[in-house]
Amino acid sequence: MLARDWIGMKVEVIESPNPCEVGIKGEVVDETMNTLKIRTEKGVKTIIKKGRLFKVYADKVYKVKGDLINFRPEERIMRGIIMLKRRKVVW
Amino acid sequence: MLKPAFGIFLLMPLKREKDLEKKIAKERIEFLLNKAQEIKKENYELARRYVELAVKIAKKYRIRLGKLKVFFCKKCLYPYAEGKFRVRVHKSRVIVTCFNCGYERRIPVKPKKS
Repeated sequence: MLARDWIGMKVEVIESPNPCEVGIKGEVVDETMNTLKIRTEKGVKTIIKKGRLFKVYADKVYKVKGDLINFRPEERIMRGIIMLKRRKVVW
Repeated sequence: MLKPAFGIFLLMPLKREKDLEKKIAKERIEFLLNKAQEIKKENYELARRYVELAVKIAKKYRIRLGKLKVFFCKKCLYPYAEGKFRVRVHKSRVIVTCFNCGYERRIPVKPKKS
Protein backbone atom coordinates (compact mmCIF):
# COMPACT_ATOMS: atom_id res chain seq x y z
CA MET A 1 0.00 0.00 0.00
CA LEU A 2 2.92 2.34 0.62
CA ALA A 3 4.07 2.10 -2.98
CA ARG A 4 0.71 2.05 -4.72
CA ASP A 5 -1.35 4.80 -6.26
CA TRP A 6 -3.75 6.51 -3.90
CA ILE A 7 -5.63 8.46 -6.53
CA GLY A 8 -9.15 7.13 -6.93
CA MET A 9 -9.22 5.29 -3.61
CA LYS A 10 -11.64 5.81 -0.77
CA VAL A 11 -10.03 7.19 2.36
CA GLU A 12 -11.16 8.02 5.85
CA VAL A 13 -9.31 10.09 8.44
CA ILE A 14 -9.31 8.31 11.80
CA GLU A 15 -6.90 10.26 13.97
CA SER A 16 -5.77 13.82 13.69
CA PRO A 17 -4.49 16.58 15.99
CA ASN A 18 -7.23 18.75 14.49
CA PRO A 19 -10.63 17.50 15.78
CA CYS A 20 -12.53 18.94 12.81
CA GLU A 21 -10.74 16.63 10.41
CA VAL A 22 -11.65 13.36 12.12
CA GLY A 23 -14.22 11.42 10.12
CA ILE A 24 -13.65 13.04 6.74
CA LYS A 25 -14.45 10.44 4.13
CA GLY A 26 -14.15 10.44 0.38
CA GLU A 27 -12.19 9.79 -2.76
CA VAL A 28 -8.60 10.93 -3.24
CA VAL A 29 -8.36 13.42 -6.09
CA ASP A 30 -4.77 14.62 -5.95
CA GLU A 31 -1.63 14.06 -3.98
CA THR A 32 1.31 16.34 -3.28
CA MET A 33 4.38 15.94 -1.10
CA ASN A 34 2.73 16.95 2.16
CA THR A 35 -1.00 16.82 1.50
CA LEU A 36 -3.86 14.70 0.19
CA LYS A 37 -6.83 16.25 -1.58
CA ILE A 38 -10.06 14.41 -0.81
CA ARG A 39 -13.38 14.89 -2.56
CA THR A 40 -16.19 14.77 0.00
CA GLU A 41 -19.86 15.70 -0.14
CA LYS A 42 -19.00 19.24 0.89
CA GLY A 43 -16.32 19.79 -1.72
CA VAL A 44 -12.63 19.09 -2.10
CA LYS A 45 -10.67 19.23 1.15
CA THR A 46 -6.93 19.38 1.64
CA ILE A 47 -5.47 17.34 4.48
CA ILE A 48 -1.89 17.27 5.70
CA LYS A 49 -0.32 13.81 5.85
CA LYS A 50 1.94 14.34 8.82
CA GLY A 51 0.57 13.10 12.15
CA ARG A 52 -2.69 11.72 10.73
CA LEU A 53 -3.91 8.13 10.61
CA PHE A 54 -5.74 7.04 7.46
CA LYS A 55 -8.03 4.15 6.68
CA VAL A 56 -7.82 3.06 3.04
CA TYR A 57 -10.43 0.95 1.26
CA ALA A 58 -8.55 -0.94 -1.45
CA ASP A 59 -8.97 -4.67 -2.09
CA LYS A 60 -8.47 -4.93 1.67
CA VAL A 61 -8.89 -2.33 4.38
CA TYR A 62 -5.58 -0.87 5.50
CA LYS A 63 -4.64 1.51 8.25
CA VAL A 64 -1.72 3.71 7.22
CA LYS A 65 0.16 6.29 9.22
CA GLY A 66 0.52 9.57 7.40
CA ASP A 67 4.18 9.88 8.34
CA LEU A 68 5.01 6.81 6.25
CA ILE A 69 3.68 8.33 3.01
CA ASN A 70 5.13 11.78 3.57
CA PHE A 71 7.03 11.86 0.26
CA ARG A 72 6.43 13.04 -3.28
CA PRO A 73 4.09 10.65 -5.11
CA GLU A 74 6.71 9.60 -7.65
CA GLU A 75 9.31 9.06 -4.95
CA ARG A 76 7.05 6.85 -2.91
CA ILE A 77 7.52 3.72 -5.06
CA MET A 78 11.21 3.57 -4.15
CA ARG A 79 10.84 4.66 -0.56
CA GLY A 80 7.79 2.54 0.16
CA ILE A 81 9.52 -0.69 -0.88
CA ILE A 82 12.61 0.17 1.16
CA MET A 83 10.42 1.02 4.12
CA LEU A 84 8.65 -2.34 3.96
CA LYS A 85 12.02 -4.10 3.83
CA ARG A 86 13.35 -2.19 6.81
CA ARG A 87 10.32 -3.08 8.82
CA LYS A 88 11.21 -6.74 8.40
CA VAL A 89 14.73 -5.99 9.60
CA VAL A 90 13.62 -4.12 12.70
CA TRP A 91 10.95 -6.56 13.80
CA MET B 1 6.54 3.18 14.23
CA LEU B 2 9.64 5.37 14.52
CA LYS B 3 11.48 3.92 17.49
CA PRO B 4 14.93 5.10 18.59
CA ALA B 5 16.37 1.81 17.30
CA PHE B 6 15.04 2.72 13.86
CA GLY B 7 17.68 5.42 13.49
CA ILE B 8 20.50 2.89 13.29
CA PHE B 9 18.94 1.23 10.26
CA LEU B 10 18.51 4.50 8.45
CA LEU B 11 22.28 4.67 8.07
CA MET B 12 22.41 1.17 6.62
CA PRO B 13 22.16 1.29 2.81
CA LEU B 14 19.72 -1.24 1.43
CA LYS B 15 19.62 -2.63 -2.09
CA ARG B 16 16.84 -1.33 -4.26
CA GLU B 17 14.59 -3.83 -6.01
CA LYS B 18 14.56 -2.18 -9.40
CA ASP B 19 12.47 -4.82 -11.15
CA LEU B 20 9.68 -4.51 -8.62
CA GLU B 21 9.90 -0.72 -8.77
CA LYS B 22 9.57 -0.72 -12.54
CA LYS B 23 6.61 -3.09 -12.42
CA ILE B 24 4.72 -0.90 -9.96
CA ALA B 25 5.67 2.24 -11.86
CA LYS B 26 4.30 0.82 -15.12
CA GLU B 27 0.99 -0.02 -13.47
CA ARG B 28 0.73 3.46 -11.99
CA ILE B 29 1.52 5.19 -15.28
CA GLU B 30 -1.14 3.23 -17.17
CA PHE B 31 -3.68 3.86 -14.43
CA LEU B 32 -2.97 7.60 -14.32
CA LEU B 33 -3.12 8.08 -18.10
CA ASN B 34 -6.41 6.14 -18.33
CA LYS B 35 -7.80 8.27 -15.52
CA ALA B 36 -6.72 11.42 -17.35
CA GLN B 37 -8.53 10.26 -20.49
CA GLU B 38 -11.73 9.64 -18.54
CA ILE B 39 -11.72 12.90 -16.64
CA LYS B 40 -10.58 15.33 -19.33
CA LYS B 41 -14.10 16.33 -20.35
CA GLU B 42 -15.13 17.34 -16.83
CA ASN B 43 -11.94 18.73 -15.35
CA TYR B 44 -9.21 19.63 -17.80
CA GLU B 45 -6.78 20.97 -15.20
CA LEU B 46 -6.94 17.81 -13.11
CA ALA B 47 -6.35 15.67 -16.20
CA ARG B 48 -3.18 17.64 -16.83
CA ARG B 49 -2.07 17.04 -13.26
CA TYR B 50 -2.48 13.27 -13.74
CA VAL B 51 -0.43 13.37 -16.95
CA GLU B 52 2.23 15.38 -15.13
CA LEU B 53 2.44 12.78 -12.37
CA ALA B 54 2.66 9.95 -14.91
CA VAL B 55 5.49 11.66 -16.79
CA LYS B 56 7.34 12.33 -13.54
CA ILE B 57 7.13 8.67 -12.58
CA ALA B 58 8.31 7.60 -16.05
CA LYS B 59 11.33 9.90 -15.81
CA LYS B 60 12.25 8.80 -12.33
CA TYR B 61 12.19 5.05 -13.03
CA ARG B 62 13.32 5.30 -16.68
CA ILE B 63 10.29 3.77 -18.32
CA ARG B 64 9.51 4.34 -21.99
CA LEU B 65 6.01 5.56 -22.63
CA GLY B 66 5.89 4.14 -26.15
CA LYS B 67 2.58 4.66 -27.91
CA LEU B 68 1.02 6.21 -24.82
CA LYS B 69 2.87 9.49 -25.37
CA VAL B 70 0.73 10.37 -28.37
CA PHE B 71 -2.24 11.15 -26.11
CA PHE B 72 -0.89 14.37 -24.63
CA CYS B 73 1.15 17.41 -25.66
CA LYS B 74 4.84 17.01 -25.04
CA LYS B 75 5.40 20.62 -24.08
CA CYS B 76 2.43 21.74 -21.96
CA LEU B 77 1.32 18.20 -20.89
CA TYR B 78 -2.37 18.89 -21.54
CA PRO B 79 -4.09 15.78 -22.94
CA TYR B 80 -5.45 16.23 -26.44
CA ALA B 81 -9.19 16.86 -26.19
CA GLU B 82 -11.98 17.79 -28.58
CA GLY B 83 -11.44 21.15 -30.21
CA LYS B 84 -8.02 21.59 -28.65
CA PHE B 85 -5.85 20.05 -31.33
CA ARG B 86 -5.47 19.72 -35.08
CA VAL B 87 -4.20 16.80 -37.15
CA ARG B 88 -2.80 17.32 -40.64
CA VAL B 89 -0.82 15.21 -43.06
CA HIS B 90 1.91 17.06 -44.89
CA LYS B 91 4.91 15.81 -46.86
CA SER B 92 4.67 12.25 -45.57
CA ARG B 93 4.41 13.22 -41.94
CA VAL B 94 1.52 13.67 -39.52
CA ILE B 95 1.49 17.05 -37.79
CA VAL B 96 -0.40 17.37 -34.50
CA THR B 97 -0.82 20.93 -33.27
CA CYS B 98 -1.78 21.79 -29.68
CA PHE B 99 -3.99 24.88 -29.35
CA ASN B 100 -3.00 25.53 -25.74
CA CYS B 101 0.68 26.20 -26.39
CA GLY B 102 1.03 25.98 -30.16
CA TYR B 103 3.51 23.13 -30.09
CA GLU B 104 3.65 20.98 -33.23
CA ARG B 105 4.44 17.30 -32.97
CA ARG B 106 5.64 15.74 -36.22
CA ILE B 107 5.34 12.01 -36.67
CA PRO B 108 7.04 10.68 -39.81
CA VAL B 109 5.06 8.22 -41.90
CA LYS B 110 6.67 6.12 -44.55
CA PRO B 111 4.65 6.00 -47.78
CA LYS B 112 3.58 2.55 -48.85
CA LYS B 113 5.50 1.03 -51.69
CA SER B 114 3.17 -0.41 -54.31
